[in-house]
Amino acid sequence: MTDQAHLAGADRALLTAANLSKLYSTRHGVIQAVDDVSFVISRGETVALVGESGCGKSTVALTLLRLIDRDGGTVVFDGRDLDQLTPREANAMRRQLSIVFQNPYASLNPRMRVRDIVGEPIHTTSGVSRGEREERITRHLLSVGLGPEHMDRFPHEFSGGQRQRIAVARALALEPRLLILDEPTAALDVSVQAQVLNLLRELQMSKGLSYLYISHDLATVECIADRVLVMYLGRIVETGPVSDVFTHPAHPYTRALLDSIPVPDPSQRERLQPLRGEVPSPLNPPSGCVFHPRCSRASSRCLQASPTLESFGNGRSAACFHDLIKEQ
Amino acid sequence: MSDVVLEIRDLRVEFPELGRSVQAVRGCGFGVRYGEVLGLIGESGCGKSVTALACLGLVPPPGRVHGSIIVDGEEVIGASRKALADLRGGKVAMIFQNPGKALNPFFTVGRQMTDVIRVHRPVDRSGARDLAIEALELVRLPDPRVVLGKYPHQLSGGQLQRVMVAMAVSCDPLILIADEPTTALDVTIQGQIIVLIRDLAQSRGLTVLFITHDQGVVASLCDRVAVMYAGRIVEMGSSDVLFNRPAHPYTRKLMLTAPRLGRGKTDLDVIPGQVPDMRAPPEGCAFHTRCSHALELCRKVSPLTETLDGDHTVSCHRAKELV
Ligand SMILES: Nc1ncnc2c1ncn2[C@@H]1O[C@H](COP(=O)(O)OP(=O)(O)OP(=O)(O)O)[C@@H](O)[C@H]1O
Ligand SMILES: Nc1ncnc2c1ncn2[C@@H]1O[C@H](COP(=O)(O)OP(=O)(O)OP(=O)(O)O)[C@@H](O)[C@H]1O
Ligand code: SF4
Ligand code: SF4
Ligand SMILES: [Mg+2]
Ligand SMILES: [Mg+2]
Repeated sequence: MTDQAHLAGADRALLTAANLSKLYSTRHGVIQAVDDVSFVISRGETVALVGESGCGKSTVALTLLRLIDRDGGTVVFDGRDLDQLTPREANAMRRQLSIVFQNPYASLNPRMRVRDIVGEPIHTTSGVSRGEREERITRHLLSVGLGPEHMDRFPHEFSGGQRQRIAVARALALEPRLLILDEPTAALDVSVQAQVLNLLRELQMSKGLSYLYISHDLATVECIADRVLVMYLGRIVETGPVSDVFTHPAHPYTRALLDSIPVPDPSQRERLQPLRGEVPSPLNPPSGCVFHPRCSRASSRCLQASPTLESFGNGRSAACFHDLIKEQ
Repeated sequence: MSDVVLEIRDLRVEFPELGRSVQAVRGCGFGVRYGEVLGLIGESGCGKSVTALACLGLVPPPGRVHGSIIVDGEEVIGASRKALADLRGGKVAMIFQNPGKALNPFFTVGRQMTDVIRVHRPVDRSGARDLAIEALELVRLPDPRVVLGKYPHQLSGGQLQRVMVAMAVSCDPLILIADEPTTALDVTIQGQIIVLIRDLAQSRGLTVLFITHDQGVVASLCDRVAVMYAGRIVEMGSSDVLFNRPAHPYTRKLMLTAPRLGRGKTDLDVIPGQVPDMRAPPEGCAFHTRCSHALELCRKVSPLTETLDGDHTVSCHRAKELV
């Protein structure tokens, strides 16, 4: 199914974001942090949002959660337009969307006990009895592999991986249906990362959760996500099923991200071909295709015109003038 | 061996605390050979950074350091303040995970680079400036003269890390110690820094001790690898051997935890349990609490280091039968 077909109102869609846009005004000028971004997340599905630092991944997440105001676009969650809700409905809706941040050290209040960290969101919502609250805290901690003996400890008494488990338990407290994971393993070492990713997969299966998984590491995306959105300078440049996109990327940027991953095999050392240059300043984006200064396939056309995101079947789309797939 | 430029023997580092003290490093030993890139890997908290800091006499108080660290024939542990100051940035340069923190936000890059260069090389300010420009060119930063005039906050994380590498090589060190210099960077920039360090090691005969917990980074960069667990080296050998024929049960598990493209949407392999609390490390082989091959012997007796073949050494009671 193409994203367009999804947008047309397939009933499996849990969240439909259409034409999101976000501008930041800074001292030096206005930044278009998110530019006409559209995507669908189905029930029980994991969609990955990838791209280099500053491309707008977290900004997309914050607009979905309505933690920042959008400058354009619509978000439909479970069939309801988030802009059309009464404050009461909006509050109820907010519980269905939750987020886990990158840094488990910064995101947990150091003065609170684990019990209160996980229970806090429950407390702030009315109509939950004390006993039920306790029961939920225990259940959520158990689901991330922590026992009653951990309930009365403080964050500093835990390792990085355990802290991230606590953050996940807290995000689960209100039993959301969509969990946004903003680089949830970036601060963890590789073996703890593996434990946390497996935990997230397991929770998804047992609770039927949907995930928006944000990362710049495509190797972790492959083991957790169904579909992927590749972002560059605020725009989506490629989308599709992970297995297809990673084996036959259609956009040179996706290809370059894949070639930048160091392979854990010394005999494949030469395969590491990191993308050259850096992301240009969003204050002064390049002409034409914004990727052209770093693109190995750029032609004269790319300097003048900006390609639009076109779908080409199999649920895939890309924004590039060059036919990378035919080249392979 | 004469080609060993950095030799660590039976290094022990303890941080006294109110209750029990933290035994951060517990008898770590290995040698880094001239011109090689040696990777030091292991899970968080196993003692990699403390080992690196000890090489420069930088273990913070109240840390207590015992053992021996010989850099180019000279003992570091117990060395005088003056000797250590000469060593740092001179024979041994170090770069860290967070380049922003290593630079002073109030001075330009040029000022900081030339100051460092003048401490270690007999040049005046303009000579130092030339060397700084040369070093920035070496790390392939465009417009080195412009970069010299910038303040740290005006550069991106990737640019700052290049400045750190440039600063490190500008004094023509013998050894570069890099403590997770790419962990905070984007994959693309990480790749660029790996290629840069690989080229510098080859073209300038730079010896590199590279600390990371990322197996992909080790495989793409290092000639040899030392695997650390709970304050000790448990296995060491060429990258090729450690990735293809690891002998220690910990190395075998650790190598599998790295996500690897091409496997599809599946669970990752994990090492069960967690790294031990270094206030009370397990007796015997410290890995026995997580090892599926552990015997009664492993709980009591700490394994000695044996040589399997040539370069390949391992500390495990069952290594020979498990290979
Ligand atoms: N509050 C803000 N004010 C001004 N500019 C902002 C603000 N937040 C983000 N930006 C800018 O918007 C762009 C997108 O930022 P965002 O944090 O969404 O990127 P990201 O993809 O999440 O990056 P990272 O991988 O580093 O987390 C960047 O250029 C950033 O500098
Ligand atoms: N200044 C200090 N005071 C007390 N304990 C310390 C200090 N520095 C390190 N430690 C402890 O020493 C042990 C080894 O720490 P070290 O920083 O060397 O680990 P590491 O292998 O570098 O881990 P990471 O991958 O997380 O950087 C840890 O248990 C740590 O908590
Ligand atoms: S449109 Fe041109 S510059 Fe942009 S990604 Fe495609 S080939 Fe490269
Ligand atoms: S010595 Fe024993 S416990 Fe330690 S790694 Fe070998 S088999 Fe496992
Ligand atoms: Mg972000
Ligand atoms: Mg460290």
